[in-house]
Order: sequence, then C-alpha cells, then structure tokens
Amino acid sequence: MSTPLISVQDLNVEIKTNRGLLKAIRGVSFDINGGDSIGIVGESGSGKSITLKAILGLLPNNAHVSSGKIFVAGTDISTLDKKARRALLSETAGMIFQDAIAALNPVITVGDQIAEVPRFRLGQSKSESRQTALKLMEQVGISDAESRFGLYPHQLSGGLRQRIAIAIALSGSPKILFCDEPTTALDVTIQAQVLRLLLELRKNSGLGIVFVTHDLAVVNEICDSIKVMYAGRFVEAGNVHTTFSTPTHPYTYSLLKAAPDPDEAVHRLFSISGEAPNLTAPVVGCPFAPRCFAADDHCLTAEPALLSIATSASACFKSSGHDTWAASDSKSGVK
Amino acid sequence: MSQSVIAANNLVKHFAKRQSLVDRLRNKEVFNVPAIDGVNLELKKGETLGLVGESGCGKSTLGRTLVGLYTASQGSIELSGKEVGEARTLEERRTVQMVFQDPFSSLNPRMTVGEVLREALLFHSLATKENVDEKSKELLTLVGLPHDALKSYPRQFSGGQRQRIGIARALALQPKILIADEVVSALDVSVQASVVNLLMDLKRDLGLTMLFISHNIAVVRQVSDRIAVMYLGRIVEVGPTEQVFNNPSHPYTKLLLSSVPKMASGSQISSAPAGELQSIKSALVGCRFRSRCPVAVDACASIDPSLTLVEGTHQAACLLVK
Repeated sequence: MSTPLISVQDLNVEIKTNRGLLKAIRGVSFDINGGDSIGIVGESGSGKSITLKAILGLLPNNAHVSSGKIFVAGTDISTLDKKARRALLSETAGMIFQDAIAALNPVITVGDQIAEVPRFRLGQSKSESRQTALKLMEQVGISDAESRFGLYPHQLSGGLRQRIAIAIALSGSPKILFCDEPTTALDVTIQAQVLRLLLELRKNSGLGIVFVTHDLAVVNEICDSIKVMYAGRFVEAGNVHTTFSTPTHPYTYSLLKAAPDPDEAVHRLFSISGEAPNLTAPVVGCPFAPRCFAADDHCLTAEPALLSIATSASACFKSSGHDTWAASDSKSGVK
Repeated sequence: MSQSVIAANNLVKHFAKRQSLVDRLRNKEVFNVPAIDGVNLELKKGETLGLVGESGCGKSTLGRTLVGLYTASQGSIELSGKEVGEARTLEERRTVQMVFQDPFSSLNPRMTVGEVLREALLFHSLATKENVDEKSKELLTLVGLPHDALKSYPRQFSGGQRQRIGIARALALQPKILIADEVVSALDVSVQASVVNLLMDLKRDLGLTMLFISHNIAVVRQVSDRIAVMYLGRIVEVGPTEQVFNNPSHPYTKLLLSSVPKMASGSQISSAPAGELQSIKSALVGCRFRSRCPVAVDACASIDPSLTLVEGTHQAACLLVK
C-alpha cells in the first residue's frame, strides 16, 4: 500500500485557557488518501476544527501540539523547518473556513487574492496569474469572472465569497481541500450550490475532501466515510451509509436519532440529556457515559479505545449490543 | 372555528437607507429597503406557524414588528381582533413575548437569573415582593432548570440552559403568543432537540400560540401545524405543514425543499443552476422571484402575483398556480 498523503498519529493538542489547560484533542489518528472524502462530525468544542488546524499548522497562539506526529507525503512535518513545512503543506492541502468574509482580505480585490499564490509561489507573471485566477473563478462556477475580478469581498454575496475562498484554496493545486463548516453560515439554497460544487470538483479533478461539520445530513450528501468526534477523540469511524444505518457507538446513535428529518415529522424529537464534558478536568471513564443510555459502572471507570469491528470502528464497551439499542434508548429520551 | 389571536394586515416595514452627503446634495431619491412588504398573516389560538425563508427575507423583522420592537411603516396588527395602536398598552405588550436567537447576547450579563425574572414579574405586577421568589422558582421548574439557578449569572450556563432562561423570561409575563426567533439555531443538535421538545410541551400545556421562525426546515417540519414561506418581504406560500411539504406549489418553496440535505442513503443534493439575488431594487417589479425562477414566463416580469388558493387553506403566490 502506498503512503497516505497525510497521516496523523496519536495527535494531542492542548489549549491554555483561563480555567486551566484544556485537552482539546486526546489521541486522534487517521490517514487521508488522495480522492478521499471524509466527514468529521461532532458538537461545538469536540475538537473537529482544531484537528484540521493542527494538521495545517494554523493553531492559535495559546494552543500547541503536545504529542503525536503528522506525516505529510511520508515526511514528519515536525522535522522540517518553517519554510519547507509551508511549501509541503501548501502543495498538499488547501483550506476553507466557515466565515468567508473573515478569511478574505477586505482591502484587496478578490481577483488579486486568487492570483497571489500563482504569482508569488508559482512564479507566474502578472498577466499569467490573472489568467490562472480567471480560470479558477470559472472552475468554481463564478459567471462573468472578468467583471468580478476587480471587486472587493464586501461587494459579493455570501455564496460568491465562499466560492472565492474555494478558488483561493485551489490556487496552489492542492490534492486535498480541508473544509471547516464552509456552508454553516449560508442559506440552504446557497449551501446546496456550494456542496454541488465540491462534489463536482471531486468528480472532475479527483480532489480529496475533509469536511468538518455538525450537520449529519451534509456529511450524508457529500462524504464517503465519517468520523464522529466526541470530547477530543474519534468515537466512531466508518463508511457513511453503514454508520448511518447501523451506528455502533451510542453517541452516533443518539445524534442520528436527535437530528430532525426534513422528510418526516415525528412530533417529538429524541434528545440527549446532559452536556459535553469539560476538557480542562481529567477525563475518567468514557466521556459519554454520563449521557449514555447503555452505560454501566464499567463505563464510568475506564475509557474505551477506538477498536475495529467489521468494517467500522467504535470506541464503546457496549458496541456489540448495538442492535438492541432501539429497545433500551427510551430511558434517556426525557425532556 | 377558533378565532385569530394575532393578525397582521397588509403589514409593511421599511428601513431607510443611510444617504451619503453626495447623494443628499444631488437630491437623489431615497430608496427604502422593504424588509416586509404587505404581509397578511393570521395565527389561530393554539397553533404553531412555522416561518421559513433565507436570511434577509424579512422573517425576523416580521417577528419583531409583531412583538412591537419595530413600529410598522404601514398596515396594522390585531390582537384578538382588536387593533393595537402605535404605543401598545402594558397588557398588549405582555400578551406577545419573544425568545431570541442568541442566548449569549439576549441576557443581561450583569443580572442574575433571579433579577431578570423578578424585574419582569414586578414591572407587570404579576407578583408581589413577597411571592416573587416563589413565582420565579415555578418558572424555573417549568423550563427544567434547578432552583439555585436564581442566584447565578447567565455566563455560568451553557447555550441550551441560557435558551431555557430566555424562555422562562418570556413566559414570566403569561403571554398568549410566543414568538420564537431562530431559538435553536445557535445550539448543537444534541441540545436542540431538548429545547424544541420543551417549547412544544409548554405550548401544549399553557395553550400558547406560537410563531416559530427558523431557517432550519427540518426543525420547522417537526413543530409546525402550518408553515409560511417568505421571500423578499412577502409570504409566497402558506398552508398546512404536510400539504406544503408534500405539494410545494411555489417554485421558491420547491427550490428550498430540494436544497435541504437529506439523511436518506444515496441522496444526491440538487441545486438550481443560477441563483442569488443581485439587486433588491430590480426585483420589486413583477414577481420578485423571477430572476431565480426556473419556470418564469414573460408575464412574471410585469405581474406581481398575490396569494391564490391551491387547495383547502393552502395558498401560493405564483402566476403558474391554478
């Protein structure tokens, strides 16, 4: 088997906060190959954005990788100097963010922002880089690219801004696009357009996608595999369709049941009691146990590891009994 | 037939656009952005009306105008058949209450939960100084919070709990109508469900009438008896929830429903080829949706369609609806 494009091994990230050291990521390992489309889901604070940022070296100043290794194209990036790391990462991955207006420079025209990488990193001349930028704008479905080249971000709508951000991310011809909730701030009709665009880019140019979101339905629409994150760890990983039809972690099971289905009215939503744990305190036992319908005393004392079962993986002592959950979940369905 | 508890008649709310000095010197015509533009809406006692539409379509403005935070530019609002004046009476204000989207900014950070509730109860003389604590505790029980929350500040609570405080504050005034403006948008899926369930329970137990404003169509489907779809300040389709979902009649509703990501296996998201609004001004002549509409005909450029009957109480504002 060939080396994965990006390999993350036992990554741990800590964030310094006023309330102490927060263990935002606690041992995350996964591989990304070219052409993959991986969805990472979880609630706010579960560590999904931080995972992407840690890989790309975009962690805020108060956060740092405390242990673990990140290999890009087989090279441990901690052994590279800043310049070499940046060069290696930029040809491997691009990233788009939730808030496109904050990701774009407000005082530079969008065309110049897209042309920046072709011009200064790929060494194209001014007119060549302009042509590259126009081509990228067409590739991301911006009609009338010529006239929009000279506009500033504030003159564009939310959907167009996100397309510009995608064009910038693609300007270094990366093999993987990291997407950090890129459609959360968009209207559903515009979200559909951006998702379609990502699907097309993947189909036409084999672009790999790592998509972070809290919306399970979005993952269902555009990803092949899914990783469910809870309290800084992956608790379930597998193929999207298998995971959605037969979840093997109670958290995934509960999330799927709690998500309102636009196709069916149930009139009473399944809810998960309690709240996600505070990661500044040491985690004892399974972090989901206090909210779990299947938990017993053992779950409160030991934390399960992510183990493979058949085609997927689950971090739960009770995962073998997943086919009986539908009968026992009712006790957590209060308020 | 049950009577309407709140009704909007041809409601209009314009926001004046700030003019630059140059424009003022040139005597340029003032263009007022019509956030809501001729909305007729009626809520019957005990029903939940879901209001959906994209950002900027005027759904929050409609909610805020109904509750009295904005004064209407034109048109009128009736509460239980009685028109409200520009300055609402205390009683009228009490009747319509609102829960806001952002549980972080809608609570005063320097007031404890107890102070927040006490202020509302005492101002409206719904409690005396002697029994105000007792009443506050009842409210907390109602929304599923512990009694010791009274002494805590909003920052000590999570998003879901803060939203419950917001609900308790609204319910303190024993309103008849609750306007829930994107109440679960800022919450995680796992917490969202419990807040939605709480609202539905309260609505049923207290006999409330609710306007549930949200861009999350899946949630609206779960909670609403009827649904209204807004586009650029107008209601373009309204009807019983199941009828609107099963037989969307306005092209915008169709686009909206087909754009929602689905949970079904093998689902392929569809999207309209073109489509974002370029200029509000140009859209005000004829049908407002026509520049994005896949089935627009020539007549759409000149005729502004009004709501017409589709079936039963299901109405849509499109020339092509027969």
